[in-house]
Amino acid sequence: MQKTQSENKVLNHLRNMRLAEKLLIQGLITVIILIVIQAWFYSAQDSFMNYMPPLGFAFLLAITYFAQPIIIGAVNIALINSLHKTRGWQVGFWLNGIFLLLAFSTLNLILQVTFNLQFMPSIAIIDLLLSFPFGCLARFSNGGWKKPID
Amino acid sequence: MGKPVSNLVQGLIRFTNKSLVKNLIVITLCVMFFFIQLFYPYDFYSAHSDSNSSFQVGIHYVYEQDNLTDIYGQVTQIYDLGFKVIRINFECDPQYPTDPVNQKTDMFFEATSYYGLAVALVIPNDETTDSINFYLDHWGGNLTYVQIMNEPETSSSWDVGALFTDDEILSTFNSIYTTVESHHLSAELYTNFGIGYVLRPNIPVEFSQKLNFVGLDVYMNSFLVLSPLFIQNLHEITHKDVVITEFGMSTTNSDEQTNYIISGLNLFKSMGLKGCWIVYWNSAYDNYGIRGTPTETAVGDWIAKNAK
Repeated sequence: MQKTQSENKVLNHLRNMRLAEKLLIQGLITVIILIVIQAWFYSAQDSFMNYMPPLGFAFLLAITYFAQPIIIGAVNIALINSLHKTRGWQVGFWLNGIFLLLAFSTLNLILQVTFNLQFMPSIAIIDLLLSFPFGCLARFSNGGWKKPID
Repeated sequence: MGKPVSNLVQGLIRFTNKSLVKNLIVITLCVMFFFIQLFYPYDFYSAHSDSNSSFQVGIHYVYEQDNLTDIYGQVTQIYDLGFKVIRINFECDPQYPTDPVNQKTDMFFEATSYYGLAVALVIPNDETTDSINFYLDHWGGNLTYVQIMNEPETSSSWDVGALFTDDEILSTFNSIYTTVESHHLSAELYTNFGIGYVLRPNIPVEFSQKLNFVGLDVYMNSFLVLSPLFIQNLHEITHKDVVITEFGMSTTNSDEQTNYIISGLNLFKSMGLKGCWIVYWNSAYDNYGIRGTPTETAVGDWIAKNAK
């Protein structure tokens, strides 16, 4: 009971923040998740490719383009619903996730090619600095309804 | 003035907030991002030149198709054009040391030694240990690069020597590698891969542990445009430098061939690669050969201006 009350307090506090702060938090959380997953892929891709070829490679592709977008899409709508007190979603989890993933990887590719940067730490730091615009993009890419839906 | 703009923005937000519209916008942006990822690297590198990077242009010379007396002169011509590396096929006859093919190989290495040209030897997938030992005993000291197998990820036919399983590929690689290593050459080892490596990436990953660098073979305009992505990916998975070990176009249209090769050389140089080896200097059975064509002159001019 106490835990629920404290959770509500945190939620209420988050919901009472200004829109810019909400977008920054949303962008920051999404970018951190994307960076962590990307860094994990860099370190684990050799193991994937060497695991019972070509099964490992197929798993890598499945995780990259199927599981990862669903996770990111689900996190994004959960954040939107928590921060903006909405319910439901307008864009499906996978589509929303692949959109954010493509936006993130396109930005990284442009930085890497144009400025010849490495993902760790240079591009990851730039990504973090771009949390606010990424939050705007994440908020724009999905939404919920104020009214409860069945 | 402020109110109409505000109304317009509000209207736009309301419009884009509809589920159908939002889905369409997101899908459209996804397609846009996909195409940016596909074409941006090529566009960027093609538009920017890296004048500071050193770049080595090589060529594959099929000397076995030339007369013995012509080989020295051809090597001289290749040297004069500014090529730094000559890639060659594995040509020898261990049974008959005085066989014409062995004499041609002798003549070829005599010329390359004189001009100080680097030589890359291609050891085919189905070459026997005895032949490799014979070749390396005789001419191994002249080699700068040794290519172990040719595009091993390609399973092209059911012919004898064609490779299908990873086990077969790896055991053949290890067998050739062990044979080459037993000669303690100073040559750098590499294996070249076609674009098809993306379907069997475990092969370059495993091979690269024993190699000094990896090669990528680029044919056709579509793959030239996509090559920056492949090069970056091959470098990421193998952690080795990538050299373009086969690059050419078989066409009777000289202008097309020239444009293709020059645009590729510009691209690979601006990407900061170590080098690009053109196929072929001469080729009797197709139109890859640049010898005696306007492409030869254009490549020579390009090397004089761009390759240090």
